[in-house]
Amino acid sequence: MDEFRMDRREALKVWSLLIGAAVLPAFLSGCEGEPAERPAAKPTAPSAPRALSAAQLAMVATMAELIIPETDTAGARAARVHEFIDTMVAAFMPEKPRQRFMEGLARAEQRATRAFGTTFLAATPAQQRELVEALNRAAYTDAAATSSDPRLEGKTVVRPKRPRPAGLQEGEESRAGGGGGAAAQAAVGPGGAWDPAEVGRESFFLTFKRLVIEGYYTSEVGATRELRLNPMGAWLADIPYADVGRSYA
Amino acid sequence: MWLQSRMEYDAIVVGSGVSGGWAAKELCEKGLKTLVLERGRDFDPSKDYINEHKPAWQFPLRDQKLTPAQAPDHPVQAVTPSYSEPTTHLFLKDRENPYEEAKPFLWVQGDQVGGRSLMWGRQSYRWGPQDFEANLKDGHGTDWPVRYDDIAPWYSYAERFAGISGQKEGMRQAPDGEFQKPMGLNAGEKWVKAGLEKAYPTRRLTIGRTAVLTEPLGDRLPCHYCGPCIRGCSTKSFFSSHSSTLPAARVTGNLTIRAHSLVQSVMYDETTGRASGVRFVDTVTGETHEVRARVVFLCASALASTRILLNSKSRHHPNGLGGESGALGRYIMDHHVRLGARGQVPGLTDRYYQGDRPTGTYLIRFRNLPDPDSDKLGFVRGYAYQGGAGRGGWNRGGGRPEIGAELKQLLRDPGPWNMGLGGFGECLPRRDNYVELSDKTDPWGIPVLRINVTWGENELAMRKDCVAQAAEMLEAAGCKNVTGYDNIDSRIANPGGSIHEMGGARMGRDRRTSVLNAHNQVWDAPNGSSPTARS
Repeated sequence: MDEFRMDRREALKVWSLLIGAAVLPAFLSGCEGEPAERPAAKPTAPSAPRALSAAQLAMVATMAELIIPETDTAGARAARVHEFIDTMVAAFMPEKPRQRFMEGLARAEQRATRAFGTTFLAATPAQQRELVEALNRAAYTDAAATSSDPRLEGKTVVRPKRPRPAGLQEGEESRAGGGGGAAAQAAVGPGGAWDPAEVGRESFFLTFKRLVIEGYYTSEVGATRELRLNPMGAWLADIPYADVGRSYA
Repeated sequence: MWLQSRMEYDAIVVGSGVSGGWAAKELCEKGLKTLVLERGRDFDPSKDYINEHKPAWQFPLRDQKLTPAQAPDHPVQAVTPSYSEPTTHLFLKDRENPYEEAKPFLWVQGDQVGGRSLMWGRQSYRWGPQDFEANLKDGHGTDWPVRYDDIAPWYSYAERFAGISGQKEGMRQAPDGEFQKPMGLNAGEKWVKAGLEKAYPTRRLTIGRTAVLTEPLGDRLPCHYCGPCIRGCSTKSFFSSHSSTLPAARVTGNLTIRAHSLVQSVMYDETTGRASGVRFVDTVTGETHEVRARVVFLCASALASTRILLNSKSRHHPNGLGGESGALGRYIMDHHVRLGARGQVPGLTDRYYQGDRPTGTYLIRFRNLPDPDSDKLGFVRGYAYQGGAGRGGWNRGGGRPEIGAELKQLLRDPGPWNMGLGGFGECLPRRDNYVELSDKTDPWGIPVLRINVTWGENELAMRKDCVAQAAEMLEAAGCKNVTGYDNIDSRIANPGGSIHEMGGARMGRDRRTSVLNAHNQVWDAPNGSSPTARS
């Protein structure tokens, strides 16, 4: 799981510098990206789902859009992040992470059914947002504190102590409290008590969120419209950030 | 059973990587008809740089790093960081190059004409006088019959032809070379350098000296800073056999390259006491060949060259060619790596960079030069650090609790500056770090290597100091959230993991204790040279 989760671009960059190995991150050649107004016009290699059913694919697309929504640039759905995730689950994840991913997705769907009496896809946009934001909060809470809740017939319940970036990894910032709020303090999310697999750095949702981020910022629209491709041609070692104005993809 | 090749050559070079390319160039330019035998496939840079400048979204997995779990052909090769979706075709399939790990060992190899010169990290440093004298001074290994002053003119010759960019620093232990102009340090690196050198006036952080052009050289163009050299370089900016040495060999008209040619052994002529040629297998047809020449250069990598020598058994050399001393196969080394420290550079959020620089920083060795603290250190020899600074990118998003438009807005700007120092420690030559022939064979019936190499006490003691010093220097420079690390237990930290494997056929002053003389010639067959396997 750790290997799978490794944020490869930074890892490769650091490693390649550290060991002198021959890979540096792909700062890519200039290619014309999609205008934000019609982001879905030229999807890259749309393919039939290979790991996910059509319904699961639609659910993944909706959840992904809530993580990286359309703003003044295209969002995750238009960048076809769901297809990337399907490919990753089908062709990249080892068996155990794939199993955990599919279980996590199923659990999110069950939670929607319990909380809203409907499938995730049939829930209202507000309900979908509520669930995704709750899953996100649980993913950034400490999985250590557990207690049993009498309402839940002795099931183990994870009671988040305080919000914290549990999934923090190399190069990532820490900002305690960022995703806080009353809901994170509760042992129960929409549709029932948190399962340990929904809380903290090992949670399905954190894996999912990382895949969404990766899929979006390595897509053509994410890399060229939302962020900037690091241009080839020269090494300018020390320039004002204002001259660039966006992070490189 | 061996087909006699009708061709006779003046010279045979086994391998076409960095050292094989150089050998071919030198021999061809001196007028010798030269045959280069390469076990990998043909490689034509005009059409085989298939992934150069290809954006992430054109790869199904977005140019992902692949792990052994995702690489059935490459369970060993995939451990190395440079093994990724765009580079898998460069690596030798592990089942075609099996070896036995008596102790955990990573053996990473290329599978094409050009070998690992297409995949290497390009960092290019001169050894200092202390490196040539260390064996004599501390008694580990055998005294080399060469010194820095003997080699310095050859360094200059090689640097001028290869093209090395770097900054002259005047440090005796890391001598300056014939540098092209240096690539610049970025804002974070300049900041760390200033603080570090103020706290440690005798230490020096410099730009990595790299075999990538910053100025034109012949038909080769300066770097265009696209980033991943390993995907190919149509401007020939980084040094490889294809961009530099093989073209020079080819224009002489004396060069023949034969791919898919796996050398089994060196033939030995009892009457002359010299090597007479090599036996090799055509890995496509399965046919075996004998080819003769006046000179044989083994440039197949330290371990593969040693394997050939061990397999070169004859009545006169029952332990392999060069086996009389008992040193053949022994004194295997690698740099020990996967240790160092990282920290955050505060501020500088108004500074950035442009382009993808194919090098990082280099912190020059400072231990045991000698050192006033040498007695307290508990180890001999030293280490240096490669590293660098950069600003966090979108992948920090997984550690952020934000979601939705808030997250997207946050990741529009680069994150804070991070600085890393990664240690490269010297490994002592030890007799009990050895390779031998296994009773197992490869798919062509050639006995494979059984590798028995571990890190020793000196390496382990050095690692403690290397981690502590990295953290201390980053702290002293003013970095925040400094963490030291030592990943010795990870698979990639196994010997071989830094792909700097050395040894197996050490050079010495005495034929009774070494395999090669001062000219890298096998004592027992002075026309057989193994420049890749000395230690």
